[in-house]
Amino acid sequence: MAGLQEIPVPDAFADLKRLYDDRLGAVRNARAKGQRVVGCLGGDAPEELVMAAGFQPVRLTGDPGAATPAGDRYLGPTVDGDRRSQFQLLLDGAYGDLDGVVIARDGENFVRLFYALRALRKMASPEAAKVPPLHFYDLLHMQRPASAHYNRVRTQQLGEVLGRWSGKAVEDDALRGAIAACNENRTRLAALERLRTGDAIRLSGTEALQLAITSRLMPKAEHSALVERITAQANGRPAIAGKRVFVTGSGHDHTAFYELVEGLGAVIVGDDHEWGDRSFAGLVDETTTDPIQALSERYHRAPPIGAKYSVAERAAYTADRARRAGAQGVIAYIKTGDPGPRWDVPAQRAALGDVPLLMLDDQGYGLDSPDALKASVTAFVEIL
Amino acid sequence: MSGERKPRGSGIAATADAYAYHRAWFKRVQEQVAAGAPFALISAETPVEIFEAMDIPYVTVQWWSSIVSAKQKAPAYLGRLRELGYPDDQEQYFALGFASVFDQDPESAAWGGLPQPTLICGDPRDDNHGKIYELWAKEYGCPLYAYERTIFNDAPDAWWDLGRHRWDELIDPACLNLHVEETKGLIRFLEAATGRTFSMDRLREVLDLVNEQEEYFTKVRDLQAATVPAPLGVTDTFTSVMMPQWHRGTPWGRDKAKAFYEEVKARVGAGVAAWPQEKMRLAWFGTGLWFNTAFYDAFQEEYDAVFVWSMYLAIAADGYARYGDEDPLRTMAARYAAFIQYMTMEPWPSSWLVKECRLNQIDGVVSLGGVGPFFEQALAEAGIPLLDLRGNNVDSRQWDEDRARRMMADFLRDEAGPKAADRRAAR
Repeated sequence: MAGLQEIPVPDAFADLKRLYDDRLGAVRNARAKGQRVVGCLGGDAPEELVMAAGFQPVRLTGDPGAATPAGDRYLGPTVDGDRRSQFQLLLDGAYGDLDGVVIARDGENFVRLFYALRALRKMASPEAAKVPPLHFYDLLHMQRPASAHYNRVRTQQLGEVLGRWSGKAVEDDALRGAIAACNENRTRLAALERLRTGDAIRLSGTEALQLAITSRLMPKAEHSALVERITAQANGRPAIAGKRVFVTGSGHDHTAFYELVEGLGAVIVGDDHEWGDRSFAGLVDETTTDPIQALSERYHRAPPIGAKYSVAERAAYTADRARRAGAQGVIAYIKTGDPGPRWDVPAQRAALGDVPLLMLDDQGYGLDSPDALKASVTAFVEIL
Repeated sequence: MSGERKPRGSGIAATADAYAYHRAWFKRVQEQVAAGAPFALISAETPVEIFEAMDIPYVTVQWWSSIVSAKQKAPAYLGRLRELGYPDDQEQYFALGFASVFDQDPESAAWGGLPQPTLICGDPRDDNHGKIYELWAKEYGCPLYAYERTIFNDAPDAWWDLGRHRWDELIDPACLNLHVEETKGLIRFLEAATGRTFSMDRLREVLDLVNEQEEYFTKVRDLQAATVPAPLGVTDTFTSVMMPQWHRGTPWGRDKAKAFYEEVKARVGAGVAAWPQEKMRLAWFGTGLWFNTAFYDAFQEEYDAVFVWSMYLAIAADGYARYGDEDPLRTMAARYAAFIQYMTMEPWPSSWLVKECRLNQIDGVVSLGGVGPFFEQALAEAGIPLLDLRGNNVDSRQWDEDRARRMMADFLRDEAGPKAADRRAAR
């Protein structure tokens, strides 16, 4: 037994970081394992349906360090850098060999990205030669029965498209299995809240975001096992000290801003953007006889993000999440070309009451001005 | 759209008549609302026909913002938005209208101020719009009815060929179905909010009037396109087209469109032109420069360059008339369910503009900017020069008149002029 104790325990956090750092290699990694892969743009693309069709879904991130000449040209400066980067990577074929791409409607920039790709393909532009088959999944967000019915139709159609791409119709049993795997993963991710918001914080916001991002890049069972290892390892760690900060505003598909904040005496205890905690909030009903309907409902009823939801919904959600997380302050990081969250800020401030909010407006996809950001965040953290 | 000013142009009677009518109508609505009548503030792409059929007066957000801009209120109003913590540089065509809510002084506000709306109805097709409508409704303390905007994956390219009669081949049925359901929801909402009742027979009458009206505009567009020198400049068409459009579905709207057509027809017959010395025919692509409509007439005397085309007459001709007898709500949905896509879903907008440029014998297209590479490529392939002035149509803070005129001069001399010379030589 003594010998066994000497076998080094694999560092779960090192594995997480390796997976996160290689997020742009996720498609190629899946291919190397013999999996067929469909890329997903947007958190509203239902990965369960992609899995049920026999594909590994990979939610496509951008690359904040890479130039985006085609993205800049075709989408223009009024579209956020995230979308311009994704557009560029698709044109460049940089994600690897994709069997198709599903584009959801998290915001209108996704529509613009889709229209541009669609137009290039229609024109048989050589620039679009590497773009795989596309399907726009027009999930609507108003909480009305007519919208819910429309979403049901679109979800059904998406299943049919995926079936055509795979050559095999999506079966209910396969969909139920995928739903169960995704639900289990979401449940495990949600349980990490205890490590982020308790008396002793043992999981940083950077690590939590890495977990949320990587959950969309790899098979669910593998990721759920990783979450379990992370949980076990985190429980044995010393507590992380720092002012408790909540992040709202635009989405983050990389951790640069989180790392910056957490390097300045703060710890991010929660967030409400499309790549963070919101991405695993809410489960699909597994008891229903109509899994397509259940799936459509889960995405339709998801918590509000900065685009496509009302100011009132956003303000209430942000305030509720920030309070639950015990945040001492809130940072609204708002990117150029992502206008929705900017309108939310006055109502978010009001809803937060005596919890202060720092607005960082006109921010880039990467960290364009880290020194200025550091100065703003440092000053904010000091007053908390 | 077609804002506060003495109507410009070349003396079209329809322009002055329409302007006078709308001012009187607005004043009457202010009085009626003050006495308790309902009033709606709606976006231009929501089905005005329902409001007309239910006898609920309305104004559109875009028209109101154009009035506020023409009153030169943008700098102060948008500055106020910034003070309140809202962005002042996003979707000003809508945000400016919202900003006007913070000026309730009838002496200061454009046209004495917007009457207190009973409700707001909008189509949040952009990530700003839904928030703006919501905040606006909150400030007014009135309810909001928002239309979903749907997206479809594929469609035939020449939408203008199919739109009138074969729209079921053009528009995804799921989008039509949802629009019908949302309109039913709107009707219930309006009945509850205003106490007015809805009649399908009345809606049929309204839809017939709209089609009649738009057919007259189509005839005007065709006359304008075929006649050199053009009978109209764009400043003749803004008010003559948009005021009836804001009253479409009424006998007045239909009659004004008819009178406009007859006046233009008589002009063509008599050889009367907006600028008889016309050498260059220009298209203005995008929304109107409402704080500075004099700009459109500024290049006639020196360059014989006439803005003969704007989207307002052209979209009236191609985008509105819709025929189908079985279900009026579905026929009306065919008008609105894809309306935004006409201008956003490539290749729809660029191919339509090229079609219109060819039809109207355009020598150069001028835009305020952001037309994008698909437009640039389509126009380049069609051999039509494009000038991108970069600006905002209601935010005068972004406008540099001297710079714009210099850019225009260079464009007319170097690009539109030679193109026009070739056209004239080929006739």
